[in-house]
Amino acid sequence: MFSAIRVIKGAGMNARLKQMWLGALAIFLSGVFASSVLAAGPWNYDRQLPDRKAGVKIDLATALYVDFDKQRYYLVDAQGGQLVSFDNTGKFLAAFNAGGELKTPISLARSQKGVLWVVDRADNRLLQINPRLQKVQRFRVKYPDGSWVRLGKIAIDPKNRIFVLDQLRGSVLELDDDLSVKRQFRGGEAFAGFVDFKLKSDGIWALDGRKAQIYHFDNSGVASAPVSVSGLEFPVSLEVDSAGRFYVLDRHAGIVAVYGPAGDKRFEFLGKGKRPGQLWFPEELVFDWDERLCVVDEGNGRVDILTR
Amino acid sequence: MMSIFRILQGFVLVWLLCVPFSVGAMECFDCHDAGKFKGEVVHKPVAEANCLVCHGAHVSRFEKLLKKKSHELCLECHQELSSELGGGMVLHEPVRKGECSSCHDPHAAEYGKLLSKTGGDLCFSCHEETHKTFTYSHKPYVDGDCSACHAAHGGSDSRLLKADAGGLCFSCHQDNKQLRSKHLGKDLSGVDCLSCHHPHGGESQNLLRAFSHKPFADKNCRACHDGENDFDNCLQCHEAVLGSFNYAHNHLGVSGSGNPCTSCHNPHVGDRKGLLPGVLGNVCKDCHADTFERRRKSLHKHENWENCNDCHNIHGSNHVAMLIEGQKVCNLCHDQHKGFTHPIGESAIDPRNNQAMDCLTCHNANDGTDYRYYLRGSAERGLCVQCHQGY
Repeated sequence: MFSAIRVIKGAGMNARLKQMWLGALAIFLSGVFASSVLAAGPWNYDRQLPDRKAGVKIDLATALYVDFDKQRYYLVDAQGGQLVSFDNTGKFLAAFNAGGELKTPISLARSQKGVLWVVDRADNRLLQINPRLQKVQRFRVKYPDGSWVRLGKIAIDPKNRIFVLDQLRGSVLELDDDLSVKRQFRGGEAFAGFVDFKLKSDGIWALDGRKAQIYHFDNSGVASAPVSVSGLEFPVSLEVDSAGRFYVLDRHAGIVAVYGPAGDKRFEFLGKGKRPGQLWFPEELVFDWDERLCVVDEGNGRVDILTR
Repeated sequence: MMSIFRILQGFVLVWLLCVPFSVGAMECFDCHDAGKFKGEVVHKPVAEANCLVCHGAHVSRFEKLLKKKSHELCLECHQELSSELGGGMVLHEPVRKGECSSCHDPHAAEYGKLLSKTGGDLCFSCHEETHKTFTYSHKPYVDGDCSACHAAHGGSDSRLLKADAGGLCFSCHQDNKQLRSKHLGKDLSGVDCLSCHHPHGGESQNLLRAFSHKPFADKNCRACHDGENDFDNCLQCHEAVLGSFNYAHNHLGVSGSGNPCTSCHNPHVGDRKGLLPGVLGNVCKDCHADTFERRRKSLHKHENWENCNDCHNIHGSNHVAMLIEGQKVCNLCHDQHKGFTHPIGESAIDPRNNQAMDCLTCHNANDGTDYRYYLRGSAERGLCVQCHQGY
């Protein structure tokens, strides 16, 4: 039922050698440039997904799911209608479209039991994909009053609780086992809607993009006063490191800005461009198992991975 | 020898310091025709023949031998303007560029405030597109009294209004029983009159904007006002529009907890189909202020750049930046370039990111740039070497 697509390149030996030389030259020059771009901060360009030589084409990279247990990356390609997986070295593993069931996937999470949950924007459904049973089910997510949730990003916590972003209302929603809304997490009076959220051991961290404010809800759902972050043009994604620093991705400026826990700006890095280590309409920030920073870059069709 | 040289140097210095003052009013008009400096209103230093207030007699780093950049010079005396124009105001373009003489003649003029033309004639000389004929016109507009509503130097938003829309209108129009009776008896304080009424003119006597929402035109307020002002309220009639949001990128999340439809569409009237304002960019810039600011600073911009929906699918798109048909958007207008261009598409891979090249690889049609054709670098070299590094 499922089709796994592996890309096999066929080329003559000479052409391949020429390609390799050109590729190596391009990577070297890019590396030189990237290192100069990144010199401003403590982060260094490590690698990209997919590797330039992998021959994998990503049409619209919208999200990255990091599997901490298996140490794998799953890249969501919304326009290509596929999920693309990579191992812990960044090696391309497979491209997967759930037997053609994925139309416009925009976000992915995996439960402890190995079930994949995918938000498909094409029909505003939540897909439950069981790779072991090769079974796909599509669900609507509703509020108790019967109105639909316009699904945005999805995340699953270690207790297998599903959280989604309601794109329309800008709330983070905790779903029950019937995929009904169990709890809502929203901002205060001046709230303009969350554009991203992350689940951490201390609760939910969420970004109000238009107001440039970061909210924290502890594990019992109690909100702290929002932290304002400044100097941003169009913030779209948030990460929080183990030291409590905020990383905010600015889609239009093509930068990652780093703030202290009180919102004090520490530094910013990367920049707008197309070379490795530069960003062109980036969409999401995610830390992997080694707290490497992964930047999902839509315009460049790749994920840049940075190390400290 | 050295000391003689120093003494001579001293003399020259003293002469340079003294001569300008001694020249003062005197002899400029020996060469410069004094008749050209006359008018109904004369700038005070000119009237006093004190040319050296603004001009250096010998040399200057600035045009017309001005002592400073022109606007810095003006603000030296007209200090009240500095405070008037501060505090994050949106400045009139000539003010922002420091081009005071775009409107004011620094020597003499026929009209007050040293204006070279009067009222509307002056404004319409740049704002040509605003000069229209309406069946019914607002009196200040038809009188050319633009400054009745607009502050010529700067305002709190891009319209350069003298006060917020409601407050401005009530400075002439009385918020009385008669007016309220035309508005369902509602309290009109704090109402933004301009959301429904066109301040220049219209086809109806009450200057309502040209396109009306059917329930509004039918005076069927309850069609919308019976329920919550939310997305579902609009979908009751416009359900077909729902599919236009089912894309990876959409504009559903624009209103926080409110109704995303009314963030862009006026639920009562608009200047164009879709109940949108005449200049669509006026809606878009509420959220995309950064884009408009970058564009403002660019020397070369795409024409009609405020018609954002010419290139973007405003409800939703599966393409980066919500472009219509992704990279093919340019061909919608620039059809002739399909066959006459730098190679683009899958056969021309950008070495920087392994992506297929397109028009936007080299042109920044969205923000504009400082290069012709809004190229992303100099066409002589800077742009090309991004990819052709051996060039």
